[in-house]
Amino acid sequence: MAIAEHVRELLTSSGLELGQQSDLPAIHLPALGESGIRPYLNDALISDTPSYGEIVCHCERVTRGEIDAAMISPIPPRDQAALARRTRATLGRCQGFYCHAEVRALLENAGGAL
Amino acid sequence: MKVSGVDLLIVGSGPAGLAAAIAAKQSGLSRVRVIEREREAGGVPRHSFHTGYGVRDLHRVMNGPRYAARYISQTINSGVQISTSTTAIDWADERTLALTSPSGLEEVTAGRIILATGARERGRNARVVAGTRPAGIYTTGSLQQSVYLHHQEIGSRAVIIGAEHVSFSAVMTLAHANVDTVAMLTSEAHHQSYFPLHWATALRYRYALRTNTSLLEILGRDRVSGVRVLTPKGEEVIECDTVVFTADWIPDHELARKGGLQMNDVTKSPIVNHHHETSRSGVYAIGNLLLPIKSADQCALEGSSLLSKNW
Ligand SMILES: Cc1cc2nc3c(=O)[nH]c(=O)nc-3n(C[C@H](O)[C@H](O)[C@H](O)COP(=O)(O)OP(=O)(O)OC[C@H]3O[C@@H](n4cnc5c(N)ncnc54)[C@H](O)[C@@H]3O)c2cc1C
Repeated sequence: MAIAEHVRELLTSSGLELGQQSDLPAIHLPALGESGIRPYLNDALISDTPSYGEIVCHCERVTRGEIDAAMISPIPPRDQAALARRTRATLGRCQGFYCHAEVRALLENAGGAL
Repeated sequence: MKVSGVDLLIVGSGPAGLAAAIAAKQSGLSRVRVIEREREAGGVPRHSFHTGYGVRDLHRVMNGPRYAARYISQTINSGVQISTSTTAIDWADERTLALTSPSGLEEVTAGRIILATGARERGRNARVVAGTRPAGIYTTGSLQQSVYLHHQEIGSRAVIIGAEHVSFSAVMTLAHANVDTVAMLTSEAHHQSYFPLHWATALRYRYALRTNTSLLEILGRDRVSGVRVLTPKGEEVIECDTVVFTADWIPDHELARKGGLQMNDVTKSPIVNHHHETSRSGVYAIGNLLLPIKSADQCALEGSSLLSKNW
């Protein structure tokens, strides 16, 4: 926010008219961790969207639904490290022994890279 | 949430689990169900396209997927239900497992439960290897799935860490993906596989087996650029874009631990008696979950002999 304020000052001092202030669209990042009910345990969510019942990363229990949602979010992750930080996929005990290839395939199909 | 019941519930559809399911049917159990968290049944052999499966149990040698396919069709033909994309996530009580699948949550109560969840190779983190965290680092298991199941791009020069049976499987898998194996490292004085297997692969794929050599550090920023190793003559950097960590097995024991079964601290497996029964009566453990690593045929024989022993 402080940087945004500073940039605004720079812009106005350079003579730019900023116009009306408007609200930004809200961005909802998925909640990581166990603070809420995880998708793989959410029967209502799974019956609505079955891919939330398809666990891809078995150690961290990340579902295909969560990976798909991350890939079509307003700021999609572009590589496997970013997808991992967003969803925790591949970051569990096995470090990708079981899911690396599957996660990579989902990422690449959605336009990301290794 | 759905609720159901079976006579026997088997977790894991690798060679051990499927062989046990077939034997259970033959011994007269009527409701037998196998659950498998992957989309396809079969366990590790499903992505292990090289030959070397089936000697002791089927008395012939074949590749992994063919071996898996034989067990899967025999299981289905004997009237066992296999539920894929279905994970056993926790215990609801002593003999009830909670499952998640695309068709929702379910609790299955079983007369008996067999855990056949297999084993995995320790990866780079579990081995506490120094260096950067670039792309291009695999275990043999993840490599095989990338190459054979998804046909993904791997790289051009690989270094293999470890020199056990499965390390030779990594050599063959890399060759299939047009990746040269430049070196196979082991900190021991010899490789730990069959001599003919080493001679044949070394002759055919022309890599250097580097004994008494240990990995010090992984190099590279976005992509692996090499490994720093310690040899009897001193330190050296081997250039490569791919590193495969092989062997160093650990049972996939999460479900066993969650159930509070007594565990063996050394092997990290559930403790079993001579009937393969764990510390909880009616709950059994077989295959690579017990004392990894065995070959697939040994795991299958363990599965099929379980029922003839005591049921
Ligand atoms: C790269 C590689 C090459 C190999 N080459 C050979 C060879 O040439 N010849 C040979 O004889 N052996 C070979 N082996 C060894 C052989 O594959 C294994 O010994 C054998 O597959 C072990 O069988 P298993 O049934 O115990 O476990 P696995 O085959 O590992 O099967 C366990 C199954 O359980 C499932 N599972 C785990 N947890 C859950 C859960 N909570 N809910 C639902 N499902 C679950 C897993 O998804 C998996 O499918 C190789 C192994 C590897 C990794």
